[in-house]
Amino acid sequence: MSCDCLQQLSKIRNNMALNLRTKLPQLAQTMARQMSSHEIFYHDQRELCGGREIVGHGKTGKYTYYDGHDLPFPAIRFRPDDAASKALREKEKGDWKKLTIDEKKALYRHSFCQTFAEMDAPDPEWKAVLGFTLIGIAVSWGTYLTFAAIMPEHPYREFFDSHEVRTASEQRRLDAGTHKDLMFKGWDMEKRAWKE
Amino acid sequence: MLRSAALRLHGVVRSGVLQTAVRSPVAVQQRLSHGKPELSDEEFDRKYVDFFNRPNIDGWEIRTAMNDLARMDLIPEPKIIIAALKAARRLNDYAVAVRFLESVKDKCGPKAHEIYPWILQEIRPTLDELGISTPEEMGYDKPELAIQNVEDMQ
Repeated sequence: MSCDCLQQLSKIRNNMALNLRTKLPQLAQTMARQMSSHEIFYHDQRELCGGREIVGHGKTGKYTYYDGHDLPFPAIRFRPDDAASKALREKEKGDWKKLTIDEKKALYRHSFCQTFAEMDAPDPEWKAVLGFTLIGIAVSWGTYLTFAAIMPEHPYREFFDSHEVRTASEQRRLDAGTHKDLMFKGWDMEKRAWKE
Repeated sequence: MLRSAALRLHGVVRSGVLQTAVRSPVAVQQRLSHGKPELSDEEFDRKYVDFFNRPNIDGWEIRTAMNDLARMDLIPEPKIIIAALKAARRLNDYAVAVRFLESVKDKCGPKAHEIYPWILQEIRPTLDELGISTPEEMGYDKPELAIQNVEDMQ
């Protein structure tokens, strides 16, 4: 029975590892090294770039695509090679004056995802962020107001807040001798009343 | 006996070891500042022009050099840009040429309206000779396409 359980557990664990490997390719290297009971396997994640041509070093030497002002030329082309792009690359070897604007754009988009203008384009995401933040504040404030309206007052609240109770508690604190350096100058300890 | 030996040892240490140890750094001259030695502007330009003019330059090197230029606090001189465009032509990579021009415009920052037209005017003969369209001619000075958020993709 327990043996079955263990087998089940190990199957689940293996499935988890498999899912993580497919879902988190960046973590796969670390996960595989930590979870593997076999020999350690280093790989360069070259398979992640698929059929896309490797053209440079990029940011970290990994075969990933990246658009950014600090790194205009990532390690791989953005699109995988296909028949149309291969034909276009062949035509590119000739005179560039014979290329039409559309072909030039296709060449650009074959290598890169976004232009600099598109990278700089304003992102309206802040509206959603602001909206959800205000909704969160509204929900929590409304919850507070609702509870404040529903909750009954403490039965002795008025008594605790009364002048007599607060004076007595202050006197008791003074009698106990706490906060000697903070004693009230206007309070007469013998008469137990305010000085005149 | 021990005293005389100790005294003699003391004399040896003082005269030989200590004094050479103290004296030797004075004789050795070395740069103590951090980083690489600074290049003058002319040397810098010549270095990059020569690099882009190398006949056996490959796509890897041209991209690395352009990435380096994009990260430095400078705008490349027109002669560097011309050499880079010609290197891109030799490597038959049109996209690299346009991307580099975009990068140069980005490097101009808030003064793009002053500096970038001058750079274009300087490199115009090369652009016409090689048949390179500027990003503006290709319509890339304004956003052309919007991309789907990666988080929304299935």
